[in-house]
Amino acid sequence: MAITRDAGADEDAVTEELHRRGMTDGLPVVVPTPERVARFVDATGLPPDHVVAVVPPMAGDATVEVVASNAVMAGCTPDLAPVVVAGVRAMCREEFNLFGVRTSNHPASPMFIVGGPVVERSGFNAGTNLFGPGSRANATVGRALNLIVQNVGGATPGLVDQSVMGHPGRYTYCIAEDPDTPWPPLHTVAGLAPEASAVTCFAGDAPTAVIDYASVEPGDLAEAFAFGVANVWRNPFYAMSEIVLVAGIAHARVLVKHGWDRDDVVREVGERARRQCGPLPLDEIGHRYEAGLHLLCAGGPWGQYSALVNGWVGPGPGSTMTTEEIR
Amino acid sequence: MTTTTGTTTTPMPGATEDGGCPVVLPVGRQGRDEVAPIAPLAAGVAGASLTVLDISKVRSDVFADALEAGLRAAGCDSVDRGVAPPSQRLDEQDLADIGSSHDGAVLALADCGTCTSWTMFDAIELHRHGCRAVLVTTRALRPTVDALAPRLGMASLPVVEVELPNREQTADEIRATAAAVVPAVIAALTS
Repeated sequence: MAITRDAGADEDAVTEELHRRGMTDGLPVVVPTPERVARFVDATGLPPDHVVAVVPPMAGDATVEVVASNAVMAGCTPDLAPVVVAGVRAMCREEFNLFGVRTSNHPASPMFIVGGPVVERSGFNAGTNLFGPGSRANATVGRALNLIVQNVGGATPGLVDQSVMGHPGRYTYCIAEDPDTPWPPLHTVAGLAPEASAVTCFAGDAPTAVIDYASVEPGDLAEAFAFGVANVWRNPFYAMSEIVLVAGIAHARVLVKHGWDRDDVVREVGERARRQCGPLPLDEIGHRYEAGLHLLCAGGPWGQYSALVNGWVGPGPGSTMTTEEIR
Repeated sequence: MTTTTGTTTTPMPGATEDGGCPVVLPVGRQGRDEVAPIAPLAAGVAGASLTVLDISKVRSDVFADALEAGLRAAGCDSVDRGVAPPSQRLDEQDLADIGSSHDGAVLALADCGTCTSWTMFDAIELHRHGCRAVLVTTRALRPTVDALAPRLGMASLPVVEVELPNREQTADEIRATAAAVVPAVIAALTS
């Protein structure tokens, strides 16, 4: 695309003004010109004034046009529009409690997990450097959704967004599930068909690594996951937190080789974490800690690493993981 | 530079004289419907039915106990206690029940992020249900309250502030803080 010197200079001024108004995340943005926004709006197949969702905490109307403006600023290409729209819907569902998540002192922020055919079709990274940089789709979709929380929802960092520490996922926090996942895709747990494409939204703290180079028996590997899970369960201030277990592909191979399905993995990890913990703070109210474990497979193909993503306050008093089909 | 938000086009500082490089701003309409505040309890608190809603976080019960005691000592003999969940809103039925059975409510102490935002939401909803609600928060969180309250429907929500959060005080210090704030709470309820 040809950009004249004058136009470029003008866009620089606009970018500075957007920074000054607190409408960016601090990184450079693509200027949301009407032409760019219109292309993104067209790709949604929805009218520009259609309200996709009302975004907490300040009850902002996420019209398609405003969603598109944020997505353009984040660097999203129009082909990613259906993913962004589904992400907005997922994070704005009442049970996700975005109002609480993004006004909390807690670091948690919406983490988006993209699954299904859209992963390969739109170039999402489900492999090496899963949580890191390099994929335009992951980076820009996650960034767009964070900008929407900030600009449309009004979660201004330091004013309405009161997170004491925050975490890097508040810039962008979007991963994808391995298209060849050995278990049914995560979105099937929410009742969607295996062949569907979907975005799952989880109020996630920063990821922590599960490192086990040695285990060739699934029970030993489950013990390694359980060590991290137990650390969360023991902490009475991680009230009812759910945990996403991201099994790296090498670890998943060990589990699958011995016939462990998703329920087996979750149950075995949960039982081992229980044994490591002993009595837990919420046992007296009958809280089912194990019900808050979610499993998916992603990450690079070689190397014995997995990850845990701890949550915010869990379902009921806090946030419930949500899934939206990408249409 | 000119900007559009939805169908509105407005000039923006830094605009070029020829209005070059228009942008679609990434913000839209914000805010819930306005809620009319319930009038102050002009007859005072002596004959009023009040409730103190504990935000149910660390040592918040100490603050609520002391606040309740202070209101009783000030002549209000109808004070009961309830809980405002720290990470969620009160459900609609609870709000209706509290609103229909109380003239005033004090929600305290909103001293962290979510317990402030959701408790502020509940306080405003209590006005909608006919109850004059007062939010007690900390000085550090006052800017958050001032920014969020208008968008939740009530810029004039009665608010009382204290210096420190419960989590940074001993129980004795919390009791002293709560006792000291009772006159301000009564003033917010009645004037």
